[in-house]
Amino acid sequence: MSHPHPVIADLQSIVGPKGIVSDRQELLVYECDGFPIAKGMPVAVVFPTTTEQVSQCMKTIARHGLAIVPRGSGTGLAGGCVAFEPGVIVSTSRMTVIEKIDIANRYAVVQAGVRNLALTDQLAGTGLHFSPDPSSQRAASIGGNAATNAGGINTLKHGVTSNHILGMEVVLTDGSIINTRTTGLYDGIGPDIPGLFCGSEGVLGVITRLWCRLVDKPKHFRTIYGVFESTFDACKTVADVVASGIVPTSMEMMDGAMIRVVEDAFHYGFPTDAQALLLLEIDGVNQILDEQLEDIIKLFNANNARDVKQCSDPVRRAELWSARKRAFGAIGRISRSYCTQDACIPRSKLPEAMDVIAGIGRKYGLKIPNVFHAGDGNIHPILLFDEDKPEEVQKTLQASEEILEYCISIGGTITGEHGVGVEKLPLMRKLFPPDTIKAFQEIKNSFDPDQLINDAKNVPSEKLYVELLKPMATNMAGGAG
Amino acid sequence: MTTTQANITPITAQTPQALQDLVQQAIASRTPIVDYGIAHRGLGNPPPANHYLLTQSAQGPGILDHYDRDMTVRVAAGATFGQIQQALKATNQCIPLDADDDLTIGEIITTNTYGPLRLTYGGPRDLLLGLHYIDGLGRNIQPGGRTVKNVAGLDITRLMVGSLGELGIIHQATFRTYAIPEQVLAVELSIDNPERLGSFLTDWIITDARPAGMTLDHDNGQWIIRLAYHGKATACNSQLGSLQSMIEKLGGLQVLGTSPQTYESYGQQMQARRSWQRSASALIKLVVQPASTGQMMKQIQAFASKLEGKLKSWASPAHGLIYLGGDLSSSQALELEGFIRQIITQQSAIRSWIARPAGSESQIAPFDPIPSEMPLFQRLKNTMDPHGLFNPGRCIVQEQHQQ
Repeated sequence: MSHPHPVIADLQSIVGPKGIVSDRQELLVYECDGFPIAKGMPVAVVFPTTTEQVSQCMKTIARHGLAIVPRGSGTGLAGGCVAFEPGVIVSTSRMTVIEKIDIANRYAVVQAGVRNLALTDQLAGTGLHFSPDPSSQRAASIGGNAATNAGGINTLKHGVTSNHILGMEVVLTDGSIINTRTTGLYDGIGPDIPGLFCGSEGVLGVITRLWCRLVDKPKHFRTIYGVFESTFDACKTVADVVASGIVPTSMEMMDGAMIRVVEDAFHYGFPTDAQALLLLEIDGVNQILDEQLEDIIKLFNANNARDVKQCSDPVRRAELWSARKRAFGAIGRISRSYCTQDACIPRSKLPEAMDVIAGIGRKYGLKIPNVFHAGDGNIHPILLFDEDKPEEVQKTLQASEEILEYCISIGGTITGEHGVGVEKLPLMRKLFPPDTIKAFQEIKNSFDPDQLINDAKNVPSEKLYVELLKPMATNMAGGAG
Repeated sequence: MTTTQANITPITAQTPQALQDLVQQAIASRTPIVDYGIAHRGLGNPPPANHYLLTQSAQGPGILDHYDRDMTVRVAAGATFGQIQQALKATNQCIPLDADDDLTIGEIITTNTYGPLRLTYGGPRDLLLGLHYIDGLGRNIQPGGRTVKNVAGLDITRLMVGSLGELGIIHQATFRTYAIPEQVLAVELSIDNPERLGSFLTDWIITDARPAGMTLDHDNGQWIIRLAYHGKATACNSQLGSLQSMIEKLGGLQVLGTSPQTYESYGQQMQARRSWQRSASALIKLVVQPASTGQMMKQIQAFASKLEGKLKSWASPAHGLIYLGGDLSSSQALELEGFIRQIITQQSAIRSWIARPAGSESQIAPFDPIPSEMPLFQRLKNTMDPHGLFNPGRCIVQEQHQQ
């Protein structure tokens, strides 16, 4: 029988016995996030409830020579909150207090574990909301949203999480607590530190508190969807709408395979013989929306939309968006496992990109339905596989890499909103030149000189490289990542 | 007491290679590189006596790549804002920022220049997608990219906004562009008491009467709110109707005039209105909580009577941004500093002196309060500019740098 790691007792003295999980069976929940291919077992998961506890926990974990792995709600999709080396997960999921809401100055102060939708729910009736709306917003924490710079359906017009964070409190690996732009002001002096922390994926420190910008919750919408005989025409419609200068709230697309999956699961009345469905929404001043809608319908029709439907009925509108947001859930009916890619490409390249991805699917014998934020160029090819079949896992990884390399070649990036994590780390050196990778590493090391926190995630490490198909990390002097 | 003679070597650079060579030269000669821009020369602590004085310029119109169908543009940081806007006009696009035409893109980014249009389009940190910069070792670093969403790596692009040129020399930047609005409907309102603005500002912003941008100033004895509505004529008129309904309910506000204009002409008008800032001997950028803007402006106006009417000011209430200043003497600037200090101690606010009259620099600190993140700034400075070359000491107090 193995003895519990001595860090557990030390952490218990900080958070109490109910604030830590160390039983192996209970730890299974934390061995991966939404990226199930790479799994790693932590020594323990600790649940502080205050910033001071986070600080003490981090100092304690560091003292024991263990890795620190920040985790929000665990809804990440790139392995960013999983322990791939001996370490302790510091979960902010019990830091759920909304501390202040200032309507007059349009900001809120929340602990990092507050769920994204919980803040907007709290604002009901004020006319304001917290804008970032990832599909996981019911469960995802705002701290996690900031750490990954989460996007969502409305980012085309309303921006990503970083656009909505005014300031934050962070804890560094030495336990020091830093407040950056935590005054409720819309500006600061000097470099934009909150901007650096957004999207850093927990490699610089643990975000414990956020000053969130609140914006007007749109009241008036027009929703339209069009059915197309080809993804090419649908993608060209997207590019044409963008090029016309119209800024829709969102433009989402499902290809034929995805339409059939969603229709079989939820019966929304989508035509199952269509090759693409483009769902578009505009918001703004009520009196001008109809004019904008006319212009958009013209563009749909100019690109051979077979069927164009407007939707002003709120119930039908909610159904349509429900269909989009539940699309990933529907995948579970047809595949044991799936791996979602998250490249972002110039929108003008969408038409050709869909064809290339389909070709990669055929090459590897994989089904790859697509549902994605077409308006941002943020594609989500969903590679279906059985994780119990090693050859399928291998093909999935190879196909993913090929898709992402193609996206890089056309001016895109490997991740629009899910983050690099460990999943896409090998591609960082293909996306950025060596000096830029070095610059990232140097900044990371300036915050974390002992490379304790989320090493080998987002930024390649000289010390550690995580082999995705092996249970735990491979420590390599000089790193191969 | 001997006075050190300043040794300033002007350098002009147009290419990344030229900048890399300059950095290597600077390292070898232990001579800092200074670029405070043209509109922010007085912002921050003064540069060291000996330095290379860098001026960046751009070859041609400054556009390196215009992905017009993607609504993004990659520009040389040495290009001026006016050059870029002029070039984008050809495709009916613009970068919707409030910036003077003669500012370089680099200066706009490093000083985080923005104005009332931030309400609708965001500021530099929201419009930037990526940039390239030369770091303190002479390396060409390229974070971000050209897509409108990108979370790969660390967001050094955003970090550089407001960094006052201390972390690297930006030489190119990629921005999101927007369609030039068909029309700008300029609306002037009078308000009886600007202190009231805070009580309904949020409510205004969440209605159809919400403008693209809003300013507040005191003009000819009246408090004036200037609004800009962007869009087609029908849209603007519709919003004007919503505004009129709103002010009927509120009372104390009156429409003084409306004027449909082009985006370009309105921009020129706004630039002309703030042109006094460029020649002011004293200029402060004050940031307060948005709801307090009207109250602050009223206090500033009351204080202005002590300065022989020389003090001017205007505000962007949506973000609590206030510019105040004028042709003040050193003693008047000190008085003003005392007044601003009171504001900062009474409520959440920050202030930066963009220009201080000669003789007052040693008595007025450029930034107040000192950012609590200074230790992090120092860490970043030591990492990204280990030789302390770039605008040393302008904002970030370094423990050591080599001269």
